[in-house]
Amino acid sequence: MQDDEHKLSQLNQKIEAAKSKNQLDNHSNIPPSQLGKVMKLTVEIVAAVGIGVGIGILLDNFFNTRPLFIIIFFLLGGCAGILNVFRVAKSMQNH
Amino acid sequence: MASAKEPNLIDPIHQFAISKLADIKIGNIDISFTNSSQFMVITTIAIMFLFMLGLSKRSIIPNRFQMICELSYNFIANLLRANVGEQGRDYFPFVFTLFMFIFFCNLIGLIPYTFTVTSHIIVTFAFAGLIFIGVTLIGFVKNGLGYLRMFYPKGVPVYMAPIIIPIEIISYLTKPVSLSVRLMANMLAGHSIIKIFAGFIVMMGFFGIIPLAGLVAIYALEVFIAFLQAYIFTILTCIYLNDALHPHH
Repeated sequence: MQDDEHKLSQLNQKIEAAKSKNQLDNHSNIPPSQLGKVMKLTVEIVAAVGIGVGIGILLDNFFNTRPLFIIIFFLLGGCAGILNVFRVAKSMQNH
Repeated sequence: MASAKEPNLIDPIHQFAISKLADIKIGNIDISFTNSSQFMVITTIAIMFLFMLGLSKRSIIPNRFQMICELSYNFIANLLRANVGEQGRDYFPFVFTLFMFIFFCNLIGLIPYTFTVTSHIIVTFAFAGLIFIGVTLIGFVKNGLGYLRMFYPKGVPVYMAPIIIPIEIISYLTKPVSLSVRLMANMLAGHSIIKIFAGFIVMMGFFGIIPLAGLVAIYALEVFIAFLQAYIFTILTCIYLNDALHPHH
């Protein structure tokens, strides 16, 4: 019994040592690949424009004002896309 | 040349076809059991089996399966703590289930003759849409109407509001789309590339050994991407959750 407890405490020490060693490496998360980065930015801008046009089409169908809102929200969507890309790129820089 | 003789030799999209296994209809709604549903069930059973196998003994010195379970638990727990903070604990079961499900769907899809559930936009968009609605609701429950303030950043002049607010709203609505499209596109592209390269091996005969070597490398990359995409999906969920819980940061 005494022996077992001794073993356990030794194991605990080993685990602690391994943990403190791991802590150092753990901060470097998985590095995103270049292709992944490009993909992320592209999707971001396309999705924003798509959403903008979608909202525009919905509003136009509702108010019967085609193509007024499509044009407005296409431009707004483009702005939102660039804003998104800007934010994502900023967070990439911080990492 | 070879493709002229056998026009269906390379058909990289065929693997994504959905076929009905059992016709089920309620009223006019088609809820047939398809091969997609079949692989979702297989995925769920595989995860449950792994965790039942791993956690049945609960020994202090874990065996391999218990190690897998504990490592995945720690991985997600650390992810939540780093991105959401202590408050994120409440959402651990959901985030953990999400990660395991997407990861296993991606991995099982890499086995030949299987179906990749996550390669369909409707599946990933259902995930992302549910997360988006859930996170928005959490934001409103935790912050009340003050959550709306994030559509109007501090320091913006009043006359800019009519432009900034729609832009911020569109930017907010983009989240689920980019989240789901990224996962779907990666899965679709990866599996198509594997299929195309596999076609080259057959076409080139003996020299097919060159694309075969490439295929082995691409396959290894795909295993990594299967993990990476599940990880990205999960970490973005955590980030959105954090935005909902602490909107002023």
